[in-house]
Amino acid sequence: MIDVAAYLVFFLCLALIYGLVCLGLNLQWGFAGLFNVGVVGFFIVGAYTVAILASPAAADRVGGFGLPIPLALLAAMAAAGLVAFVVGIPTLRLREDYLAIATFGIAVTIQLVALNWETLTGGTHGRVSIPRPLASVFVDRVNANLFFLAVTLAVVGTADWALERMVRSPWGRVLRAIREDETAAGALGKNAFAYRLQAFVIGSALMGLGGGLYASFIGYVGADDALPTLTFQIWVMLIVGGSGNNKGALIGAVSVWGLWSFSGWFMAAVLPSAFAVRAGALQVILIGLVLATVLLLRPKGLVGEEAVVSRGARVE
Amino acid sequence: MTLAIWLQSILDGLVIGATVSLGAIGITLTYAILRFANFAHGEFITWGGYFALAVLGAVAGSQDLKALLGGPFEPFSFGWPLIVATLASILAASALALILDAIYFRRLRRAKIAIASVIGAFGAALVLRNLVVLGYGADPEYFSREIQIAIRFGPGLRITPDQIALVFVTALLVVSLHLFLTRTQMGRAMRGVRENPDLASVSGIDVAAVIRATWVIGASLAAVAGVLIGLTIQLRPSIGFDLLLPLFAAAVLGGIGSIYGAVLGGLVIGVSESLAVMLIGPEYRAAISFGVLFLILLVRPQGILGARA
Amino acid sequence: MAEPALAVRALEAGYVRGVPILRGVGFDLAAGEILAILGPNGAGKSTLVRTIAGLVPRFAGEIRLAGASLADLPPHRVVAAGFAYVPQVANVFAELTVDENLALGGYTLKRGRAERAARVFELFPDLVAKRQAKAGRLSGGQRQMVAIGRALMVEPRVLALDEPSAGLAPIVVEQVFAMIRRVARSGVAVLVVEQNVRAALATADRALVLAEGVERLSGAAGDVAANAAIAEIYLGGAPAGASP
Ligand SMILES: Nc1ncnc2c1ncn2[C@@H]1O[C@H](COP(=O)(O)OP(=O)(O)OP(=O)(O)O)[C@@H](O)[C@H]1O
Ligand SMILES: [Mg+2]
Repeated sequence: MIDVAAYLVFFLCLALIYGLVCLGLNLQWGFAGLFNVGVVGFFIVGAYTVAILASPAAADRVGGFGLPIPLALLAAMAAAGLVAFVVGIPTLRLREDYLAIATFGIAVTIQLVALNWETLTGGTHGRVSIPRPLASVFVDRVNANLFFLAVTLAVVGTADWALERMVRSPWGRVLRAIREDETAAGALGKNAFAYRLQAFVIGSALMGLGGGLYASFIGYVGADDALPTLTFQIWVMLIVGGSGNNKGALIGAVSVWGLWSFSGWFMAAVLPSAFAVRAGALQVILIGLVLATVLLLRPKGLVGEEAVVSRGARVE
Repeated sequence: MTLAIWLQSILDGLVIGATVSLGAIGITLTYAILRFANFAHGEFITWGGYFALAVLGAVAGSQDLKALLGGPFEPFSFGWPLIVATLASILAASALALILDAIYFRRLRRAKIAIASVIGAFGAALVLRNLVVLGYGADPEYFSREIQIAIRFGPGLRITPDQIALVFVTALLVVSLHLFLTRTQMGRAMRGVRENPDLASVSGIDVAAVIRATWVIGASLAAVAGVLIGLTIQLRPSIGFDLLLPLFAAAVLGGIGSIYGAVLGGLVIGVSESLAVMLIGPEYRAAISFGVLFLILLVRPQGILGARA
Repeated sequence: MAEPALAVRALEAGYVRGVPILRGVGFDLAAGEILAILGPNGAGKSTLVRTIAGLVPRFAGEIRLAGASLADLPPHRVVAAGFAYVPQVANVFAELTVDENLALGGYTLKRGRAERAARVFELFPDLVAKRQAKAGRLSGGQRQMVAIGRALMVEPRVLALDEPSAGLAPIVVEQVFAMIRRVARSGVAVLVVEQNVRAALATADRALVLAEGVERLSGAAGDVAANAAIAEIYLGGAPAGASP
């Protein structure tokens, strides 16, 4: 019983971290209509940023500054946001699929860096000894996880609250107008490009924050965490939950991560360990089928888009 | 000596670029006619390679077929078995594409939600790749274990007979595709649909048939690319997915929608990768495509041969 | 009279389910006859011809070509049945040559494409010198000829033209209407949507005036031209700010 509860805490920590990434993607796709097919790239930039800044110094590794976690998390957001800014400049003016291709490309490139720039990332061995916040206070594993869950909940809650305010503000209203109809938004005299870039950078910063929390929670980050499967999982979460709706994104994250974890556990339990590679493949296929089914049957997601009423917004 | 190394590197790049071109043509056609970035396209390359591997396995396992089809054509490493396997692979990959379209992509297009096709394709790519892992495991496979002796020519350059065959087959396919698009009614219809699907349909063109033709051509060229990669390098379940970025970079570089642009883009990508390997080592090979893509989007997003939008 | 070339009855159609743009439109068109479809901007004129062509969903009503129902056929089958349509905008394949445009116009033909193309060039001798030119590079008048020639490739029973005179110089407009009369004399039923009311009524045998998706006037062209209500329909039916 205790074991189940402890696992549930661990599970919720990860699910909420992915939920945070999902909120970032929801801002980009759900509200601004931007295709980001490189979610994992922004996530992993945040994760390595925290690893480099917060972990203690280690021989033959760059960084190890032992900075406090909150500072490192802010830096993670900034780093991921900066990457988004650079990628966004040439692509956000073009047809939407170019952003998809470019973000896919940046994620592949970052994955290569993760794998090959060993002094920065640790390569396949990854970077270890990444601390959790207040690690000296919460030493016991159960308590440490509980405390981390509280931290994650606070971060996700704040992000959700801030995003809700943003999308209901005049800024969010213009963003949706651009998504629906670029010419109409242009006629309003708004600079569509600037709005998109803002949404793209803020969304990516949230992905970086998610990556940073992940690194701190697991205590480790390596090239295996940079695989495109994560991008796919986040998209499935968003689509299952229904884009354009923050609650839906969080529900999608928890349920899809639940399905993923359960299927992984189930296959490990029934299949001999020689089939580990194939079991991993089956897991991806299963989630892929979930995605296909939702796209075909309920393309607006299980929860659907919320009608958003902007406060204080007036069409000039 | 150094000149020879550079020339060799360019030559190797052209050989790789030829297969990239074949894949990029499919990407650019799908983009032009179905109007979405098909992240699943690389899987036709993977599946094409493995379909051929399956047929080769079946031939090798049967004394009768082996006797019927005979040994390799010297100096190549392959013979009739591979040609039969390639034709079978083209058919199988085309069937795969048509089935996917009928049960999946066509419905996603109908949903008229822009993201559905792109993310749907990204998901399909991961599923298709993992189906190969399920069947064959993740370890590399080879069509033939024999090491080919390279032919030496010019200032110390080397090329294997199989690589010569690869370049020749690619050139033949590109020329055939050119003739198909310019000389046949279906080819003209494809160009018509690319420009204006409504006008095409009121001209009497069955747009659904054109879409099917697009899938078949794209998947067939990809299947050949898969076979050529299996022949000259090795097969892994991830070859298609790993090629995706070079394919998109080639298509965007050449100008999306342009067949000749895709061919040119593929060659440029191949040579750039090869030169980069010389200069900075093989680790960042795949990132070269991103560099090229990023630059072209920055300075000339319509691509080298693309018309200004 | 025999079966009309084209018969439309109580047609309801639109782009979104539950939002009909056309709300009960009907007419008969005989072989060799020219019917002008008139009405202010947004009246549903283009929607009417696009629905017959199979491009816009039909909600109710009938469309018959020489007695056979066209309803719910996909566009390429409508063409094969004998209905050719020249859209209002983007009516040629700009990236393709004149020859290729005509070849695509005759896409449904099994044979005889070259003879049909030769007949189109007889009708539009100006195009002969431009056969290998891309249609997008031609002048407005020549482009309209390619568009009409493309539609004539199938030797249709019914030819529908959506604003064929839009954007053309007056002298070219004259030529286009003369050509329309010639096509009609050869036995083709012609449906012509026009903003140029005067020229259309001078050319057409009959006219149908639409506003907001319903029929407001119909009859012989001369009677419609003489009807005082027509000016009022254009003024009253037009959205604010649009000039008639
Ligand atoms: N693709 C479309 N989707 C949704 N509504 C449309 C579409 N095309 C036209 N409409 C609407 O249908 C109505 C009729 O338009 P239509 O183009 O048929 O008018 P029209 O009489 O041809 O006008 P014009 O003289 O300007 O060409 C208009 O209210 C228009 O907004
Ligand atoms: Mg119109």
